[in-house]
Amino acid sequence: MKKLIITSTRTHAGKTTIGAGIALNSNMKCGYFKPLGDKPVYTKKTLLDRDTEVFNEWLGLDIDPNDCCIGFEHEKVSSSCKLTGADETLKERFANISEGKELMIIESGRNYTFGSSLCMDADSLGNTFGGDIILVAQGDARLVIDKVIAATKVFRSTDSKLAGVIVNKLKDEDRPMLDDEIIPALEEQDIDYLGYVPHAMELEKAKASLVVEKLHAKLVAGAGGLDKQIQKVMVGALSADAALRMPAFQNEGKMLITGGDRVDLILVSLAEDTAGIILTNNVLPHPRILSKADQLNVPVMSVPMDTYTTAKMVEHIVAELMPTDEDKKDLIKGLVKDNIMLDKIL
Amino acid sequence: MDTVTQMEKLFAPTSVAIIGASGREGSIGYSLVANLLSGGFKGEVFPINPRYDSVYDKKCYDSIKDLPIVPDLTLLAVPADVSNDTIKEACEHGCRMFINIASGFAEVGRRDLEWDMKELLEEYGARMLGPNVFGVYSAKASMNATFGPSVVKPGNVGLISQSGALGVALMGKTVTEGIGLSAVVSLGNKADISECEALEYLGNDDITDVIFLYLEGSKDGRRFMDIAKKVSMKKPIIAIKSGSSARGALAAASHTGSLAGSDKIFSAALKQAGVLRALNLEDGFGWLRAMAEVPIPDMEGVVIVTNGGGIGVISSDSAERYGVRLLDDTEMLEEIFRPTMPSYGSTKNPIDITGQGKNKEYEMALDIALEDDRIPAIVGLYCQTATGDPTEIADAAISSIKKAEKMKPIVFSMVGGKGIAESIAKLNMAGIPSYASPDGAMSAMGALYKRFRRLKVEDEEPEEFDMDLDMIRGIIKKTWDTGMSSLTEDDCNLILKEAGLSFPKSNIAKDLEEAKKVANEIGYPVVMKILSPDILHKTEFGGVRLDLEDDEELEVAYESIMASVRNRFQNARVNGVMITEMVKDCTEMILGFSQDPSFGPVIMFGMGGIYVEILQDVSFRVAPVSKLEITGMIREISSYPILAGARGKNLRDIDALADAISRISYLSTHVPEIVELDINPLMAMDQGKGCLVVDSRMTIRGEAK
Repeated sequence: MKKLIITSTRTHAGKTTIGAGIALNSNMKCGYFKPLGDKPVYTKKTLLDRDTEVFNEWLGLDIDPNDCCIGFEHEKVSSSCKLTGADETLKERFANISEGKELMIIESGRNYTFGSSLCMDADSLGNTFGGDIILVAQGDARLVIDKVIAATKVFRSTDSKLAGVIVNKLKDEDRPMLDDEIIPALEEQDIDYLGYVPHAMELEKAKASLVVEKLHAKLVAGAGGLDKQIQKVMVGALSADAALRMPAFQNEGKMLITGGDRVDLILVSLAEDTAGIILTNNVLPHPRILSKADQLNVPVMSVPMDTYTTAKMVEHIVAELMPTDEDKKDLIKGLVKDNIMLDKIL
Repeated sequence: MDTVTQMEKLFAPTSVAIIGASGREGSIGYSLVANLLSGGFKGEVFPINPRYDSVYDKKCYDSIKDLPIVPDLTLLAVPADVSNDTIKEACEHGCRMFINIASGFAEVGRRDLEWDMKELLEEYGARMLGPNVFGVYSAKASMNATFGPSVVKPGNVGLISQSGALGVALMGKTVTEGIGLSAVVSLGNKADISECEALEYLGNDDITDVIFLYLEGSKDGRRFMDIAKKVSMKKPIIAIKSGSSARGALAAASHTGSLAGSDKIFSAALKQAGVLRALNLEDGFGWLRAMAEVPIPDMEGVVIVTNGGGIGVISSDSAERYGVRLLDDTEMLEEIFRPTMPSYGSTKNPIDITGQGKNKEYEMALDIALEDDRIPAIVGLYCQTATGDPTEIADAAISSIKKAEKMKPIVFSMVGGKGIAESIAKLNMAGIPSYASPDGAMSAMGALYKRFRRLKVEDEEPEEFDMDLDMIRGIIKKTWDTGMSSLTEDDCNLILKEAGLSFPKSNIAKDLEEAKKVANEIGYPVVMKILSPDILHKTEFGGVRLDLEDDEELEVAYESIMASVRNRFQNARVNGVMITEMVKDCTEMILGFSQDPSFGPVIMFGMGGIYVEILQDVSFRVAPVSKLEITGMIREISSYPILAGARGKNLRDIDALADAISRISYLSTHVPEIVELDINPLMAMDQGKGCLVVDSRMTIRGEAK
């Protein structure tokens, strides 16, 4: 059985994207294990990691997402490992979910050091399972080089096997940085370079449903449009006339944050291509407006916070892969196939 | 000089000077002099204008200083820019009461002129009505010091109007409607004298029986309410308060530079003060006519006498809408009315004398209704028939009234074409309030009954409580000194506990193990909440988990809270979690207050929970509220039947809710540093089990204004 430990130099570098892309291109019977969860979804009094749901759906796995993840918080994980120790607990869980698999994707916590106190950091996972570590890096050249060298020192000090580095979310304009700075620096340190994944805007965009979830908002209309992708977030402070003159307001996939009493602005933004409207301060517009939003499938959600707080919260929402993201699944599969040296990995 | 004596100079002066009098017919300066002299004013009139020798055949003086005496009242009809100099000169001459007719002040943005004017008046201890007014009419002094209609019918209705144009129009309307006026006051910009002084004066005025008020806003809502409360116990006050719509409020604010407070609050204040609020002029005038002409009922029960089944039914529907209770003792009604009608007529209320009923039948039915003590009030309806003559019906009704030993509350409505308008006018002139629609008549009867019920209810003092107010202020000061304007949940709970409100069982846990221990002590199910001074919107950041039924669910919830919070606030200080008893089988209510700039603390109570903004099923009262008012607040919400055990549900602890409202009312008036309080939800438990505060928010200010 092939075991790949996917870790990263920093949070939100794209471990799940790389892991899923490799698995989707492998033509092997795959499994997924993420001992330390970091994308908690609490529904019906159970706590799941979003990424385990994504792998389950995309790879057609039938394992209980609870088995994929030991816990989210150090306190809880250490309590779960109290009886048998971290090493044994990991092996026991792994044995259960890897049965009959040809390739196991093992994803670390937020970055390669996360979980060190629990012996569940990337290096410890490499030692426990003996797989190949793939380090996902993202950011500017100096940061990538520094972090990769630091991580490599850790892996080499314990004889973990670093298969190589993948640079993720690389923008076109940063290609020279990769070729001229990062790859030579890796070669100098004798670190294998496994390819890069170009930046894709589609993967960075959240859907209206994620905003409802993250803001704990009340969805008051337009449930049929929850899958719309948000291209642009706007705060509705202008008059309707002035807003209509703004080019950004004409954008497809705009999400508007405004008070429910701004009927003028809500009305002009009610169009099929609007990704959603967030009504702040719990002020709701007339039911007819909500009916119109239902007709046009524009999600309208209500939150108790003021517009400033809401805008700050929306700004912090990071797009997550969702089990229903079929379009993103195909995109990731293609990007990994075209840009990653899969033969070196598999 | 006290306010009442000062107001005597305004309403009953013995001499009036008009600065800016004019000899040009049609001008304001001319109309003021002409109306005063032609209206029969008995005192002395001094026109002042250096450009004229005489105005309206009356000697005209060059200056106020040339007058032989100091006039009781000085009218100013000079441009805004010279207004203050003129006031100063008059004050130096000894004048102390003014009516400033001029416009061009705050209503057009010249607040500076008004501020200077106010300072000047204070300096000399003078008072002023206006600016931007059309004047004052006073029947007591036969004084028409207005540039409005020259002919006014003296009577018992006092009219106070904030709008000049509407005031003039209303004066004109009273003449054509035959309503007599005791006084008319135009308030204008209210730079000094406001509706408060005018209302207080007319409240004590012997010849004023009813007061009609048109308001756009009140700068001192609390004082207005206190005065209105006292006056309404003596005589009815009917008010039209404009600005109930958002657009109306905008127009009102720019119209006279007044503050148009929140309409819901104003409405609650009027209700508490016993003022009858009409939503439109038609209702307002309709009620006014009834209040001015007929007595207030002395018991519940109205009889409708009609000649048409259709309008009878329409009136019955209206009766329900306006809270008018119809007499329903069929045996008694049969005994009283059968002798007056054909055999096929109906004696069930409405009493239907049928389309065959002519003036004779009407007169017989009305005679007996007026005579029989078991009938407290009467609504007469006439539906025009092919053969009937409405004038004869009006004559029959007038004849009945004349014969009656005692006047009863009676209103009339006549529906039809030719002769109907004349007949209605005839009835009105004879003192029988009559209307062109049955709905108008029933609305007027409804107003009479509102007045009857108001007088039946004795006012109560709000309850007093023993709270450690210094401790409460200490908590607020400590928070304010740290630069925060919102209290933490702990501090908020401390204050509400001191105020005597009850909470579900709860305790703090530092970690998961302690959380389990606390949950088992309290007993499952429980609620878990993050404790962090850095996270205000706990629910929105996934910091609250509900209905946890065992250790396993608690463990998952604990982890999910910590994971959610750590994802978003990596540097937040987390002091543990609060474990609270999960309150079930209850009704979620909302209770709170906010400080209104005009009325002070205003209490809100209603259906709570997450849908409070959607349902908007809440009632308001200006604090402090008595037990009686609280009962009204609770019963007023549409969801009251749910609290009262609708459809076999358990009756909720309404007494405990009333006690909570009373305590919050006390807190709001004694700790004005609390700007806003929201208790949502306040869980109403079964009768006898109290009500519990589950969540609350409090906003504060450093020093109470």
